[in-house]
Amino acid sequence: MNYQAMLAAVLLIPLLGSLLNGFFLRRAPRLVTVTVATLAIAIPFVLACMLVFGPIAAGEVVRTELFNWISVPLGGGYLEVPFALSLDRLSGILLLIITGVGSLIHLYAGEYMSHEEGVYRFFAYLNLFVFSMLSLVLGANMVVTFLGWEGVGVCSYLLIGYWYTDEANARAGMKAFIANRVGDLGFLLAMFMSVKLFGSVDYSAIASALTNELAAENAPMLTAIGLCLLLGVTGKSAQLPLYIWLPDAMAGPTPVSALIHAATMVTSGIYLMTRMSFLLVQSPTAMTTIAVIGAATALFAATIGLVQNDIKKVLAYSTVSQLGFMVLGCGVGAFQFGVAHLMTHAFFKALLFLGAGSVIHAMHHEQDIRKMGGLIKKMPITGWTFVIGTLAIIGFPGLSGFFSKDEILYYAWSGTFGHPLLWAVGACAAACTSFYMVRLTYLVFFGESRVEHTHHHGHAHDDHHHAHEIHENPLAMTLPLMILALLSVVGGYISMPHAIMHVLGIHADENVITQWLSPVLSAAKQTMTTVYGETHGSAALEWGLMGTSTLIMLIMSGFAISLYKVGPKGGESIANAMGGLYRLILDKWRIDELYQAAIIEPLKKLGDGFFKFGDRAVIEGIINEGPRGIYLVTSVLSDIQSGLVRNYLKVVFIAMVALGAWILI
Amino acid sequence: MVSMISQWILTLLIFFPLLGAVVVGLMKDAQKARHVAVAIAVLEMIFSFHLIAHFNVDSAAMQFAQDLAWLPRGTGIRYIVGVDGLSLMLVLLTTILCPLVFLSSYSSIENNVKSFLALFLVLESAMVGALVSLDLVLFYVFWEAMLIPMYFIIGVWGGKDRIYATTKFFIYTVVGSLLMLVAFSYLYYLHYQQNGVFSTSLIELYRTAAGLPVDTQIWLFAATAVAFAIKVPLFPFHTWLPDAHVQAPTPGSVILAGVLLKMGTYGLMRMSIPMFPEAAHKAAPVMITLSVIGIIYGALIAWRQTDIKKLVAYSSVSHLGFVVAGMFAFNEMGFTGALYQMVNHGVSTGALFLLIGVVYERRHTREMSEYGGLAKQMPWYAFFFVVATMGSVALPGTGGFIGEWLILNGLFQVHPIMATLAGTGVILGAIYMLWLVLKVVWGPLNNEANKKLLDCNPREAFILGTLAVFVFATGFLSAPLLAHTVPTMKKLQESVNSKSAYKTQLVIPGRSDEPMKVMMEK
Amino acid sequence: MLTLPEIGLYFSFLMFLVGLAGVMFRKNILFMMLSVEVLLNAANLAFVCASKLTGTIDGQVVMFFVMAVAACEAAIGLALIIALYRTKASIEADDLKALRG
Repeated sequence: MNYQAMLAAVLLIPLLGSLLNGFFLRRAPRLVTVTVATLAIAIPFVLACMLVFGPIAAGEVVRTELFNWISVPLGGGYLEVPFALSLDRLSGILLLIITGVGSLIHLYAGEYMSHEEGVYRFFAYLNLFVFSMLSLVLGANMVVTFLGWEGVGVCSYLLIGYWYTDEANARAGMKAFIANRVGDLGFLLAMFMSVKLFGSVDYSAIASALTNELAAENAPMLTAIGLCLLLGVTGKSAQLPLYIWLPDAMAGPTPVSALIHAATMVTSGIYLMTRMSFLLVQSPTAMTTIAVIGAATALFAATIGLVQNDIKKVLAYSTVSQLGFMVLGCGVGAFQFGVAHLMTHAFFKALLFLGAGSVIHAMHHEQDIRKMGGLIKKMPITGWTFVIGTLAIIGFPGLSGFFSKDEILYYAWSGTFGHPLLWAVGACAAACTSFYMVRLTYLVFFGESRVEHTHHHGHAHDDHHHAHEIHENPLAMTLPLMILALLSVVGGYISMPHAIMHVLGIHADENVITQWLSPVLSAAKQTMTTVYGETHGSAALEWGLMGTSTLIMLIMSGFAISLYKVGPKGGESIANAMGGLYRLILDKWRIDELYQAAIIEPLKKLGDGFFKFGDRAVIEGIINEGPRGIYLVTSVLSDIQSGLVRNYLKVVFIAMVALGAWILI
Repeated sequence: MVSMISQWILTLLIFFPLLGAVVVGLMKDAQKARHVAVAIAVLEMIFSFHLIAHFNVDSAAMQFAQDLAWLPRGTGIRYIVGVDGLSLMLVLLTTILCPLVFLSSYSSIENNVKSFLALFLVLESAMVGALVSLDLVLFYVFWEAMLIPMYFIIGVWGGKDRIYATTKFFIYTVVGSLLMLVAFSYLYYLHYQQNGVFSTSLIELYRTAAGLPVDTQIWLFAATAVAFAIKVPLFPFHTWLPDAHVQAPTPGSVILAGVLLKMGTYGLMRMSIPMFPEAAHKAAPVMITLSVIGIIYGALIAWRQTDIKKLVAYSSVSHLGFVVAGMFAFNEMGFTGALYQMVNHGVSTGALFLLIGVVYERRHTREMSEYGGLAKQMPWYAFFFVVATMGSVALPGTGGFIGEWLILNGLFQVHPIMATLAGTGVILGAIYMLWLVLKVVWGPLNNEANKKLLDCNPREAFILGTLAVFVFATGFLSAPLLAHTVPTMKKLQESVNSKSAYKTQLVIPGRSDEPMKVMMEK
Repeated sequence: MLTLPEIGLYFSFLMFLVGLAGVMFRKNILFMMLSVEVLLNAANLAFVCASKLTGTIDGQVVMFFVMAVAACEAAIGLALIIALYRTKASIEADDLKALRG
């Protein structure tokens, strides 16, 4: 089998799985459904490994064209948009994450969804999602990427609203789709500008067409492309101001949250920015805006995460915050560490979500952390892997998050577009992260058990339902946890800081991720060094920042543990002291309400006004008044025709007099 | 043999349904008449496949042409028909949509079945005729002939306020048509003045019209453009559409949205723009502004409707705004996108009206609040609903995406601000369509009346399934489909931008290899 | 001092007004017919007086024509009124308004 065919198979097998489950296996036993769905991701994973560790590692780019998609005349020539796939080192990483983490989550979901009816629908959506995600990262041009870009949006819509009989879930799906659509408009406009500027939407064609002279001549246009792409990123990767859909997206089944809203779909913005890095770095304005948005989102979402009580909501805001870190990394020019953090985040956040799902599954859909506690004794595997995930995300030295996050923070200070202020904001966000993650872990798994002894749905048949029935989940759910925990521990070593590499005596110029991505990022790097000059951070700075963040992490973790040792009430004193601010944060800064009042309601009013005033009053009015005016005139004229002879004679007389008068005078 | 068929194929396509109408009208048994009508429409569809099978993809000429004497020689009015890339797509859309519509009428039309079927066949005949005729008088005859069956379809088989709606529809359209007739007559006279002979051949009048002084062009353009804009309907001429759609029976709505509205955009692309290129350039800012207003205006109103059919009707205003905006960008992407979007809108909106019809037949209400949670009871229905919605919101992978992408892309190359504003229509489109899905398909199944609803029967599933296949087929097979239109669109763009006459010729099958320059030298 | 023909002219004018008022304000068709006769006779008087004033005979000749026409008119008119009375059972002009717009 040649590489091109393998690449096509990687993309098409999930689609096949989706079609099989969606149309042909609707009545098949659950086991068949789950097996088909999982294999539809696992087989591409094997193929992806063969590809990535084969030709891609050797420096090749595998490109294949499935069919000619759009072809229209443009200028003298044609705008050709083939349905082409291209696998390089960047998409290789994403491909492995999507299919690898995806397989684990499919395996897990098979067990997690075991109590549901008609799971064929769930797995059809999930496979379709993987297909879309793969076309997003494998697309050789922006249009194929956009197919995936919107495709993941639709799958996310369908999966968030999977339990559609509750309208709130369906609404959350709708919200996600619409917020994404706003971003998608940005992507569309960026595409149109590329067509205008380069006459192509193919990434490699754009890259080769973008010379420094062209960039200098079209600086405003490039900035506009960068900002439009950023709009797309804020939609898909849940950044300010479009992040609002992601927390609501937790209405979907937990495996969905793990796969879509933590590991893959939401990171596609980071992928896109890295893919377009050569273009973005041409515009300092765009880069700075990206960095600022990223840093602001990281901090903003982290503050909300501090006070949430729903286990999935905490993780959701944490995801938004971590995505902010990745965007910050891209914005300061450290694209490779954005990608590295994307990868480590995919591991530990998928782990955390799956762990949370495991807890929720065992607790029969209880999500309030105030009603948990002490679960580690009952669910040791879930508990300890969750702890590993927490340590990874808060950046405990040696675990994956430590390396990837600290590299981003280091570049936020010293990168081409970095600034100490960006670092400071990032560090604050990291401090919040440590606090809320430790709070979450502690309240769920340690301390006294606060599991209610009566079933909260009011079933009378078992008094000690939870307390007695909570037990570890089967292997199909714990195996993915263990694998992800392992990856969360070791995944960070690819982005080991220079300073540590020196100490460990590793003699390499660059860490693994920088080396791996150098072909993809060479153009961006070259532009950054030639246009903005070389930047040098010192080892002392690197050590200093690393030490600072470790210190912050330890202090905040310790603070959280000391506060919540007594249970969820531990935070009350601080909450009371903060008063209104606490409630504001608890209400998520009331951004949803702000959007509702400032955008949605006025638009609704405008729509009503257009209908009642514009259509009914003005247009209908004008069109109906015209004939009515004619009718009025004619009715007067027809009234004159009274049919009474004497009236006619009167008219004759009046006319005669008038005529006589006119003649005489 | 093939050349013989090619020569007569268009005439066959025009008059076959008319013949069918007579046959159906003379039949006794209504149920049998339904089968016969479907058979006629299917045969018509099969005949029309001859066009795509033998169409010369590399040519922008009028193919399968026929040029016969019709009215007395001195009048210059002849029977001229032919198709190029522009009309080919729309003829196929018509002939493919019609059998599905006849199938849908099995349950939606219960009284006066035979007259309905006969009228509908007359309508099909008129639609095909209007699309292929290349003589202004012939075109005008078919154009008005479309109106009569539609008038009765809404007026006889419509809803409660059908008389109001159908009268409004009729008056609006006739006002436009009369303006168009005046413009055509004046053009006819001007042609005589310049050349000393009368002619109504479109091919010749292209030349006459493009040579007129700008002032005259503007008046003539305005008269024809208003006629077509009413049919499209372009903001602010759209108010007849919601009424007509709401009152029309399901098959009427489908064909109204699917084909009749496209007659307006087709007319703009076939007549107004290539005939009066200079005036078109002058008018482009106005037309684009009106379309963009229509896109946003229609979308916002659609969002606030509680009547499902009204929502979809206003969404048509929004969608057709894209089509008009695209063609007035005057580049190949805009023209191609506009044409492609016409087809896609026909498919996806047609599907939506059929879907509304399915539940309307079961529940006899179009109020959104009466539904909700249908996915539980009618999973296949929900599936088709979501597919049609995705087609309507132009999701990549559906034909709507290709159309809107090309339109916005083309428009962006010349008017970035307008394209961005039009782009917000993409967001608003998602809002109102997903709102509709939320209220109809998702949510709890609370209404007792909905708990006994039956899912699509095989006939409905077949109709909707066919359209669903088309939604995706147009999304992925766009390159081979668009290849048929490329030469035409290219020529259109060249002639419009050079402000010169649109030059095309009739290719009469079987006459000779060289293209016939019929009537050019006369 | 006015001469006789001049007085006759003024008198014909007054007679005309009387006739006109009669046609305009009477509702009975018979009276309207009578008023028309008054109108015609006013005209006749004017013709005769004018003839006397100008010293020509034309006016007096026309008068005879008018009298002949008036006789015909009266005959046809009365016949119509009878026909009307038979169908409508009324000779009120206001009952006859088929020309109403």
